[in-house]
Amino acid sequence: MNANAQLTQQQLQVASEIEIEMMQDLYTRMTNSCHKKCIPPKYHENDLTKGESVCIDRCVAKYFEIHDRVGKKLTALSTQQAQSQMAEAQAAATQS
Amino acid sequence: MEIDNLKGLRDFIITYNQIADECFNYCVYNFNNRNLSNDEELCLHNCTKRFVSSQTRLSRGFADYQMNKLNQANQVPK
Repeated sequence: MNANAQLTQQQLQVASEIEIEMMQDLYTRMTNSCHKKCIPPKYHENDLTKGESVCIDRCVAKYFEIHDRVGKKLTALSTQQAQSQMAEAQAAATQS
Repeated sequence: MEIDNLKGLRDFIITYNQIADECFNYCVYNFNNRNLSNDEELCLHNCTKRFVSSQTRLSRGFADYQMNKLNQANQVPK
């Protein structure tokens, strides 16, 4: 019983480390993408223009919206794949 | 065993971030609105499906390559 509880705790720790690493990766990618899209490489001024600021706000919103939708589509696709694999396995079993 | 599952989860989430990034970079270039347009949604749907299909096909090719290598390694001593 103790061994099981320790394993769960270790699992939790590894899972939370993975989550932190993925959040960092997400943040880095998001900042790189939105910087590329919204801020032209013209360095005459040192402040952001209003347009650039608004672009960045909308870019962040869209990025996370896309991130969420891709997650939902991926789970839908993987359940679809799992279901079709199970159907194939069942068909093979009934044939033999 | 469960740690292996978590490693698989890690690989999956890395791929997930990659898909979201690539599809965002390709599909979204208009920031007049805060919401996604229909074109952007369609592009996103296609992008995700194609990415996943290509990954599946690539991993199958990789698995075949590994099988061939394994068979070659087993045959050499004889």
